[in-house]
Amino acid sequence: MITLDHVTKRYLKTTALRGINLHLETGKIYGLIGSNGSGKSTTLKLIAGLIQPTKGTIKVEDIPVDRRIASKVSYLSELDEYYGFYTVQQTIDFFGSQFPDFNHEKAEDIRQFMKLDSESKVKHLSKGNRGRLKILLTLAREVPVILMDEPLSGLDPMVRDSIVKGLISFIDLEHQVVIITTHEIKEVETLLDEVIAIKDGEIAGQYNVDDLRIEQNMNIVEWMTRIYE
Amino acid sequence: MDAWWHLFKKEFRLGMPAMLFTIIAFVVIVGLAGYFGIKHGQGTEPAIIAALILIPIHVFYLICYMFDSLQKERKKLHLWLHNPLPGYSLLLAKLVSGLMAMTITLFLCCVVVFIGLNFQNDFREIFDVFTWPNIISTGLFSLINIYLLALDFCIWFIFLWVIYRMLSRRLGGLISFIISLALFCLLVYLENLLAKTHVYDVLTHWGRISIVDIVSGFNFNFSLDPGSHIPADTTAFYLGSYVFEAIIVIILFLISSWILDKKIEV
Repeated sequence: MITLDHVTKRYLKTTALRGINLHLETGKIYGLIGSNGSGKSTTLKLIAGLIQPTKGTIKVEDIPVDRRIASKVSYLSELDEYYGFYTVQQTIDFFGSQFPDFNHEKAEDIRQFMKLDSESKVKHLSKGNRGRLKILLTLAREVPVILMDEPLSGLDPMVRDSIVKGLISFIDLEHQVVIITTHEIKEVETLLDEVIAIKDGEIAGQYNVDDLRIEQNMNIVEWMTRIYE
Repeated sequence: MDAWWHLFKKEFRLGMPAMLFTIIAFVVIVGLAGYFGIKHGQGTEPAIIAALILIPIHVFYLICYMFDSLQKERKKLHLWLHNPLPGYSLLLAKLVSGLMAMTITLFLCCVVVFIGLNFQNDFREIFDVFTWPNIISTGLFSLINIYLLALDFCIWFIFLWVIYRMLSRRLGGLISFIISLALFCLLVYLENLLAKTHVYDVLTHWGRISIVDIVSGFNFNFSLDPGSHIPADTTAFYLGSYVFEAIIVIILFLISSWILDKKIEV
């Protein structure tokens, strides 16, 4: 489904990723965890075709990735920028017009679940509500790949739990693979099938979350803490 | 097409502040010229002249519009570029919305000039020299050239912007800017070199159109100092040179679109 083959990504003065190999399959929710600057966001941007690898290849459904892989990938950015002149509904309609796979009914269901006012101007939304809008726009698409970069950032801790539960109901795991980067590990732990730890641009470990609990008797935070020790 | 149409509407909405700013600036300039003209007993003549001057300045409209639009998109590249439409569609949406905004402000300028020529008595003597068909043909010729130049400038700007964006994540802002500028100077230099060659003449010197043909019917006299002459080249231009420039601009646009799809990073 998604293959990263010996991928290195160098920026001006830093190396974000060092020859990583990943194979991600449909039907799973992957958690990409690591400290700030470890390479999580870079990995998602590479899969979304929004940056290019310095070395190595990335394929989604055997297609080499570039910007136009957007037809198969729904990407939620960590950035909090939208077209402020639109209302929530206009933003949904605009996104719906750009992606043929956008499901308007699903978008409406998510909007109601997220309790977003369709007439509110995006520029007047709170950070939390902008976060909800981002989730809505990402999950309303019926694409094989969903990438979510810090989807819970900015959300009130009290509502995170209900939103995480809602996420599951809006994902079609028969046909989709979801990759989430987050610092809110405890909140998403129940959601994840596999966890991938990135440290200093390298894959520090990959585990099935159930196996981690049963075989290692650890939760993700404990596992991550051990890796980072 | 539906996706592109919605993208175009978004681009037009994004560029709306720039267009409104231009219209307000136009109203202020023409208004002030009119106010001071009336105050100093010159009627609305200065306002009409101001509008007349603003018309050719529109050759820079599209480049300013595009700069503004791309600047606004700078922090939203993850939104703009995360789109299955090809790069040329994304750029065309901006270009066409810019052309539409340009047409609106250009129309305003032309309306002011048109009304002025019709109703300002001081301009009535113009019609002793020009006839309406002359004014319309010359005006259309000028407008076409304004649009073509505006497009030419704008596409060169897009090309340099994508080069800059492509390099900036790899080499840093300053070095990328210098390289982009150097590339621009080099390309202009090479184009000028080419323009002096026989090959260029062969490629472009066809479809001769005489300026005299366009302004024929103008009834004015002028005299030259003894011994001076008007070079033949300044009284004619070639359709071939327009086609040549159009080909260059299309190539630059296609390269820009390819870079946008394959090399720009957010």
